[in-house]
Amino acid sequence: MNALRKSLLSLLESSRNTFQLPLPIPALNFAALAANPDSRSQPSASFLDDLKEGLLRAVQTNRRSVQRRQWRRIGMPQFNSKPRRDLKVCIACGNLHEAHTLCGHCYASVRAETEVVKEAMSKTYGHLKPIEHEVVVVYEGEAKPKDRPEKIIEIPKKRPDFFAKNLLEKENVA
Amino acid sequence: MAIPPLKIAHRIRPKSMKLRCIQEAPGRVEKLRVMLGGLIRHERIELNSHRAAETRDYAERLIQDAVLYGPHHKRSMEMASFWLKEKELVHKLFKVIAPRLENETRGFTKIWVLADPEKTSYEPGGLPGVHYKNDWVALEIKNNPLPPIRPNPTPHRSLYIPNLLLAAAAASIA
Ligand SMILES: [Zn+2]
Repeated sequence: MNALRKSLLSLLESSRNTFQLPLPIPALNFAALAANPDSRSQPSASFLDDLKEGLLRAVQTNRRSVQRRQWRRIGMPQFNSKPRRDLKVCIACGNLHEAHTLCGHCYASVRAETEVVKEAMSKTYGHLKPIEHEVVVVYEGEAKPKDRPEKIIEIPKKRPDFFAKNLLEKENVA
Repeated sequence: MAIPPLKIAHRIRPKSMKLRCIQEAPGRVEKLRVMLGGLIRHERIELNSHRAAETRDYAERLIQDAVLYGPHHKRSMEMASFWLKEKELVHKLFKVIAPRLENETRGFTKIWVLADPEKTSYEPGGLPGVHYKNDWVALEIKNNPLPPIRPNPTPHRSLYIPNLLLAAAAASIA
């Protein structure tokens, strides 16, 4: 259909040129010109005049301040801040932690105690001596195991609560 | 002779261990030896997750061979003395760790995913410490003498105090 239409149009154009048909009368547009008395909407002699006038597009005319930009970027709750669904409350201390990790608050104390025991263990074992026996950690005020091959690590302070197997009893009471 | 499979589901294809060494494969082996030595000596180390997974496979293999075949087996002893540079650790592997984990059925090591610490945690002076994200784990040998990482296992839900009270209330009503 398009091809047919194109061929018809071209035929009309060629016939207009050959038979000197009258062009569409510009007087028909005078009403529109009266309603819009703008120099740019008037027909110009050359298209170069249109280019001289320039084209106006919709652009931002005022600069957005930094504060405003930051607000738009991070301050819209529906886009950026989402509620965490993967947080748990620690049973022991009540602090929040991510579901797949350990409680950081509890682990900090375990880690501090571990460093103490590690240091004592390396001192007990010594350097470049064959390590042949297990170690037993003994805190202040606890009985030492007797007649057993384990090496004893003595730590001069009270046993912390989280290290006891049963929280209601003290271990190895003398 | 067929080598028995490991007791853990280990990752066959290794990821990058984030090493800074220039020599790729020899540096990897060297770093693995260092980390294995640290694990056998201290029984609990902290490292990033990729190194932990890689080290864990080798540690499981060493301990399993030590448990199954003992110190008089030629290949096990060769493996142990290659991967553990300090010879006192070879003694420890065969005389301390293998007897301790004889009856273990679900793997000899354990990995705990640690929480992201705050910038000032683990530092007594409040200085900014390391900050790592989702990539820091503790790798430990089971049944070690160090303070337990999770001292209080999570109780069953029916033992929570609100649930006990609610159950008693429901029983009194009915
Ligand atoms: Zn906690």
